[in-house]
Amino acid sequence: VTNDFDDIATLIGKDLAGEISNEEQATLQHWLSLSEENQQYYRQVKQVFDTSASLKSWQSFDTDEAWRKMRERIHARQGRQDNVRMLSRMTYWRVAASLLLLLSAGYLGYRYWLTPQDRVTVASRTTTEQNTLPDGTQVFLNKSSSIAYEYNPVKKKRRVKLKGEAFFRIAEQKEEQFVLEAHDVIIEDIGTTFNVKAWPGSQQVEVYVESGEVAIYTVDNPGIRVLAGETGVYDRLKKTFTKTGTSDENILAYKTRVFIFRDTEMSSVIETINEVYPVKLRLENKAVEQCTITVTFQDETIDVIADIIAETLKLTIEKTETEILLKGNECSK
Amino acid sequence: VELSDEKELESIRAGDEAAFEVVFKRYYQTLCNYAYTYLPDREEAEEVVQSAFLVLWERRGSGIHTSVKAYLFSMVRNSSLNAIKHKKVRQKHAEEQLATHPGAAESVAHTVISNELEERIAKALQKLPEQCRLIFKMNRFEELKYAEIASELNISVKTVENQIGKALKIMRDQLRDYLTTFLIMMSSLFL
Repeated sequence: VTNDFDDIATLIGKDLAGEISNEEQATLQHWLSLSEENQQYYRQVKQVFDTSASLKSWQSFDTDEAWRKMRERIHARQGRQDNVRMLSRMTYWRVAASLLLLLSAGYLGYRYWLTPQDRVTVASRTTTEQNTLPDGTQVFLNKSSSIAYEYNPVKKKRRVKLKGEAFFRIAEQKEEQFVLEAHDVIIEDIGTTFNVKAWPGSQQVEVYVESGEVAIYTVDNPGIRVLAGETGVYDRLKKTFTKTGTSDENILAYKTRVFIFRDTEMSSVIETINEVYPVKLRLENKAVEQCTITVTFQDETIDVIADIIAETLKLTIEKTETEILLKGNECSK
Repeated sequence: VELSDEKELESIRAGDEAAFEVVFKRYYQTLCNYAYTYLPDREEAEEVVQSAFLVLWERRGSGIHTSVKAYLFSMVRNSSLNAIKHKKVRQKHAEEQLATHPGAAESVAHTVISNELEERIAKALQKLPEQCRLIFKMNRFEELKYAEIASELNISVKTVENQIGKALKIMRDQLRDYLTTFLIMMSSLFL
């Protein structure tokens, strides 16, 4: 080593980082002894080295405020795992009474149902569908879903039947009940926005409440109340209600096209995205399913999403009209 | 630090929120500053750090093979690097659509500056070649040994040595004039 500054900088770096060997140390000392200029060079490099570490606290971030935010986030998630709260006895009787009323209304009611006012049907096939019902309720239908809306002016009851998946923003109308039927589950709204999954052939009915509160029950089961941020699930075979512990941030992605993935396995990333876009992503290599990715997509095209995934996982892309194939092997970060 | 980290990791694994809070408060500042050296936006930097802590808590520390600190730092580093890549892809698509796109968001325009030398060094750091910058930051911010960096990035220790030397040389050369006066000023203060 002589005056080659590249080598010298490497030596100085090793010295400062505490990675230098005795032999190298001797070389460095010799070089330093050669001139004042060399010593000045060393001091300057040391200043760069030391100051760059002090960039660690260069900016001040509000840790206490950040912790408050963090706590809120972890508690919002845990809240969703809390015990299922049964309906109060009062509500049970109210439900029972209203059911009794329904039954005793019998023939009469039946005739009203057969001749309801404002009957509307909305169905979607290959694309999502947005619509406003006669009462002002907004509905966002996922693909291959349908709803039938009826309004009974005598009972002042809005009744909707759902097949598939839809998001509802209920128009508030006092004294006019809003009741949604999905399979055998009845969902009664108490002023709110919520999402219901009731796919034909699925064993479950899933109700995710974005804001407000809903009651879900069946004819035989008084059911549960589901609050904002919670998901209530009805198992059609076991005939039981539970709240899920999983907090799926992407539950409304079919509507919002916002996806949040945090260190999420590719298998589930692909599944979530494919539910929303008509062009499907596919991994050529099964091994890549276990690679994880952290990314947020905000209403992006499938091409951008595919490119970002490919760039992150070092994959290549092959496009056809209906599919984007992601090729490659490694889980390199 | 590493020893107490180990204790807290155990507590986090048991779901102890107080222990999580201790770790959060211990590393939040440093991690945000680290993310901020990669990302041009303070909020984005904080979000990356919050996400890393969220994953740590939700997984109850599973997947940590070394230390909590190393785990958090590497998660923040990887997320930041990914975020940069993602931005480039989005930008490319936006450019294709718009044909022209004024002013790339490449340059980092940090506004809050506490110290002139730090500011100059932060800027010089941004100008380093990518690989060189990454390795230098892993050493200075994550305090990783050369061998640890080499194994993490799958490169030789020799490459790490050279890249850190290169980083120091480039930055020193860029700041040469400023450093000369700075050091004279500093030494005169102590005489």
